[in-house]
Amino acid sequence: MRTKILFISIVAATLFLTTCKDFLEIEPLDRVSPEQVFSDISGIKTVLATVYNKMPMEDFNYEPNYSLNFHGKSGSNNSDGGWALASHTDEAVIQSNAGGSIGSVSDGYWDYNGIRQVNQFFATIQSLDLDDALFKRLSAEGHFVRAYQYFGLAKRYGGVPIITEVQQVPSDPTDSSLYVARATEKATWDFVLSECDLAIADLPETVDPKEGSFRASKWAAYALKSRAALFAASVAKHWNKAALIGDAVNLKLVGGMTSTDANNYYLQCINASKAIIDNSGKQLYKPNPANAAEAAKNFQTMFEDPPSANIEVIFKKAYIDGSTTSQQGHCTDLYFQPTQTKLGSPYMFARYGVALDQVDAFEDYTDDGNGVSIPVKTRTDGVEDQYLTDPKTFDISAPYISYDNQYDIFTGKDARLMGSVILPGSMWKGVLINCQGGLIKTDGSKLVFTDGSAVGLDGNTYYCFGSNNIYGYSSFAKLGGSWDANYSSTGFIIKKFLQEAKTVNSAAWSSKVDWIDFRLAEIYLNYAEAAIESGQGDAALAKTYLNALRKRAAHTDEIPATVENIIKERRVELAFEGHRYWDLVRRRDMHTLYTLGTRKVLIPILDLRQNPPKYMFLRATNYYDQQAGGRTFTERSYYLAIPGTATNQLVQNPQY
Amino acid sequence: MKKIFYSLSLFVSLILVVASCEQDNYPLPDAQFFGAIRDSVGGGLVEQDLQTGSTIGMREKGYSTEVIQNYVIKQNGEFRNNLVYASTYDIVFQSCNFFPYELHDFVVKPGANEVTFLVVPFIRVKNCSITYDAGTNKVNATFNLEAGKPTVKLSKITLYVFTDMYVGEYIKKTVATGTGQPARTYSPAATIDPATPYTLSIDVAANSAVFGVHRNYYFRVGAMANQSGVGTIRTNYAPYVKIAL
Repeated sequence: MRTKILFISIVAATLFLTTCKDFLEIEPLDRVSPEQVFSDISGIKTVLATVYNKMPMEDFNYEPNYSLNFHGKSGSNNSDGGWALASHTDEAVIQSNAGGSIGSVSDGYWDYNGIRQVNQFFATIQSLDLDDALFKRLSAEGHFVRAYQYFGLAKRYGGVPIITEVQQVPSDPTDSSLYVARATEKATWDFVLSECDLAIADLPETVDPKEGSFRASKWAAYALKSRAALFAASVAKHWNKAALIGDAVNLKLVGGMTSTDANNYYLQCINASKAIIDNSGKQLYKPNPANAAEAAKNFQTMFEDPPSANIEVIFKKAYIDGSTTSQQGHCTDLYFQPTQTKLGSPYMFARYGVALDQVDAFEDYTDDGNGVSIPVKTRTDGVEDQYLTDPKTFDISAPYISYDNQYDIFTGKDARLMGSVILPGSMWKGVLINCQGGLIKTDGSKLVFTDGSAVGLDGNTYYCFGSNNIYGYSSFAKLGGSWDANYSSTGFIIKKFLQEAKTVNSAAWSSKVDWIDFRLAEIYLNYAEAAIESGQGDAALAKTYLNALRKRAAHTDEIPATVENIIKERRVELAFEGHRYWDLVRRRDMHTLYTLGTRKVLIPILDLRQNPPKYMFLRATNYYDQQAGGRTFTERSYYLAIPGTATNQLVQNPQY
Repeated sequence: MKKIFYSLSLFVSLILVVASCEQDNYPLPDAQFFGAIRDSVGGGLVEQDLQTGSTIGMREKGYSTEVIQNYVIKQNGEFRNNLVYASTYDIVFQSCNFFPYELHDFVVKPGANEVTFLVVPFIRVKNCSITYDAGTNKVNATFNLEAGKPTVKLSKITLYVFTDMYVGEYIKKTVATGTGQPARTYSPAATIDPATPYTLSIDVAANSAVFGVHRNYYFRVGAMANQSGVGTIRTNYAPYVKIAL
């Protein structure tokens, strides 16, 4: 018996020991190890591209009512018809979704999955034996992306849980370490800025020309810091304009910042902006135009062909053709093209109507040192603040100014208007853009927003929309009827970002023009606002930067750097670039602007009582806003609702 | 033996089937919660916005994550919710048109629960008179204001108009000024003197689009307070007045 036990023991021991042999340890064949990926530069760049893609960049594919990196929600590539953050402001009306609504964004950004991936990236590069310089650069890029992510969270929710490690499910079920509580709003902003600092420390000043402005440089991190610090400072300073109460406020998860904090953040914005302005070598693109026409063309070119403006661009995002590679490209040219120049035969176009509010915000070339916005002139009595709620009922005897064509009313306006907006009566891709919305017959009766025609005093036939071809006009059409979304509902169409010179494929997701995320003009205005709001920095420099942008737009006077002038300059210089919404939010001006508010439109009307017929222009409220009974932004929307509070144990924001 | 086995199987199955028929639904709400928000001075109802107005925040106790449910208050300051669970609640009044406060461990019993909440409104709109003057073709409002506490200041007064009784800050027609004065903004916020008579007016002729049809129109005076530390401030109102135009 003893012999048997001994024998079995020896056999068992032999079997156990053989398992220790190295030949039994094999690499898994279904995955690539970190060592293999990071062993050459192309592998590293593949990983980096994934990490960069986790930045919540509000680019062409930011659908503020749905998600970031939006590529169609219904499986079909061609079913959504255009989107833009501008539609949540007085910049524009996106005709899809019945005009889009002013109100908070509802993009659902709460990407702790993406944050985990970046944290995993940190853990991976720390586990590898990388060259020191490479390690520092990759690490700095991780901090840049993580700063961007937490900035995206802080501006939406205030204070959020700060997670910098790859969380693991604890073996002890009573261990609650997975439940990370929200940090205070101040701590969250401080974290964003400290992540920027870590990125700044180790990012290179110059990037390989092949990678252009698409890979983060030191200046990109400074630019992110400049933007985030200005946001934090503005919230700290203006929070009381829409003060909230509740548990989240008591715990300082939202608000709770002092004027000292505001000044500290303003100073950080000033210093970050100054570092770029003084040391990056970046300059304004074509800062001294010969005249307004040249300035307008330069301004258009900067966005139509961003590589030509690299001298000004700090950071941007590239696209490849999404009609051939899934989940790539964008639809800007397709969905936003004027009706008259629609691409091929899609069924959605002209969706981006620029609001009259935005057009009126531009200065003219009076250049008397005031720099105030000059509304376009529609009436001889100077009444430019009254808007028709039903344009079909306008009074034909009111003192409207007669214009020879649809364009003359804009003569003398800031060149950036012509560079950013396709105006009625202007040329676009060789076509005269027609935005007529109605006519007055020789007997004084009216046709507005309806099919129809009338004979003028000259014996010619004139049509309500200026043409009897449904593709012969670009605005209004039969508002409220079918296909109305395929015409601008405002009388204006966006020009910024659209390709005029190049031909663009009519397939969805074919647009490839770069998204400019940071450019020097914004940094100038960040500096100016921070300096004037806080009394820190150099007020004279603030004025210099403000006027440099105006000079680039062919203005000849110098205007004072007041907060009002700086905000107006942001509206006109950075229009449609995704700034206006967050400017109104961080300065707590949105709820004042929009309590049952409406966006405004300009309707060219052909007056056949005159020979030859002349144009007059009606100011009216936007059809969709009027139908909705006005748009409202409530105070609670300055912070979005924290998702999943029933399970994640986080304190909810006020009034949700 | 086989017979016994089948009989036994059938018996066991029946028991299992019948046992599974036991009622396992959650109980229905068993309480009604209703009453009014009244001014602690004088006991008058505190007028509200139906839409985006003050709400009663109810936080039911006993859950690991206690979430606030908001009950809407009617326009005239009364409220009623007939589908409430009898339980213990914390009641939270925040971002209302009166000073915030909380009631802890409030017990809602099964059956009817009538409650009157006595509150301190930011502003009391008193002696309000809204009339139509055919001579000037204007609707005129005169009223006095009284601050709920000495710290409250006045930031805006408005004469609202709409085509139904829910007229207020969030349900209103946009009116042109013309020769009237439908609203007045105080910047900086003004001290409230109860002796000061306030007047507002709507120029009917200048608003032909609003008053295009002969029918009843509903007018209401609202006052917006300026007060720090109370969160979002909602408008205080006088009761609406119906006028046929």
